[in-house]
Amino acid sequence: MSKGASAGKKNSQDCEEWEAMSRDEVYNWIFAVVSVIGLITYLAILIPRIIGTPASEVSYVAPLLWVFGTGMVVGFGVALAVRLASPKETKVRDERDKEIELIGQYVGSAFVTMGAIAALVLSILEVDHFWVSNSLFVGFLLAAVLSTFAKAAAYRGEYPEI
Amino acid sequence: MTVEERSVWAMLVVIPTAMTVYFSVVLSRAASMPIEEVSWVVPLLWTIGATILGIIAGVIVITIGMAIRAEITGEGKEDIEDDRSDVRDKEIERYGEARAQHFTSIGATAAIVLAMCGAHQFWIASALLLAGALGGFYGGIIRILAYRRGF
Repeated sequence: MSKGASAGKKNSQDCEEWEAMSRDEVYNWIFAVVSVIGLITYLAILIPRIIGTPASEVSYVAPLLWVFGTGMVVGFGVALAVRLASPKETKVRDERDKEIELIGQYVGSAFVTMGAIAALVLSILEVDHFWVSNSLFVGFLLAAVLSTFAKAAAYRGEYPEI
Repeated sequence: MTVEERSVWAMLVVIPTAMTVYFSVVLSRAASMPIEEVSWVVPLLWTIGATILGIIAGVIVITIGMAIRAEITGEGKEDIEDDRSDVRDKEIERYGEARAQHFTSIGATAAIVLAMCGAHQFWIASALLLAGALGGFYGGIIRILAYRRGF
């Protein structure tokens, strides 16, 4: 078999899988994209501000709230639009969706916990609020990115042993 | 009872005790003087350290209790030696964690809000500690129920 033919076969398989994507998997991709954009945007705004400025003078509250708010509105907005546009039979959740949901929760909670422990240590050291808030918020963003990617991988067969 | 389950039982006793002591010490100090002057870091570190040591001590006490009971009644000896954690322990731990993670998320969110409002580090650290303790306690109850009644 030529290389092209096997690649073509693989593509058609991919297409079949794509059609079989459950509603939850589509939602997961929406949140994956939104959280990656959110993380990049937030760091792109924040890193230039912190360079050369004392942490106590950096204004981070507005970007933090904007990234959080916009991410929520866009993520849930697009998910709602997909839900309204999709045919009825894709709307069921099965056992696999629930299991993968748990994998996502497990990965996500690990990062939220790490952010919280970092914030606890930072506040014990009485470091500026900038660092406390941002260790927590970046922890949340990383949790969102990595849990959605772990779930996306789990849907495509890379089932992690946890 | 596996060692994991013994440690969960110990946790259920130690965590509320440690929290009661910590908050009664620091809040009584905070009530009588400005928050900047309250020394809360040392009590907090003591609380965390004592919680860990307390859980270890609790496991030892439960194990001794089980040994005494086995000696008197003559049954349950193999139960004491059941000290390796197995797949079930792991599954139950994960199940408890999954149920309790809301506490961490709520606590972390509360801490972000406190930090953004410029609250003193004492409040942020205490909120995070409380969230961790509540999550640990709730997760412990979930895990004990899972051990005893299945999940």
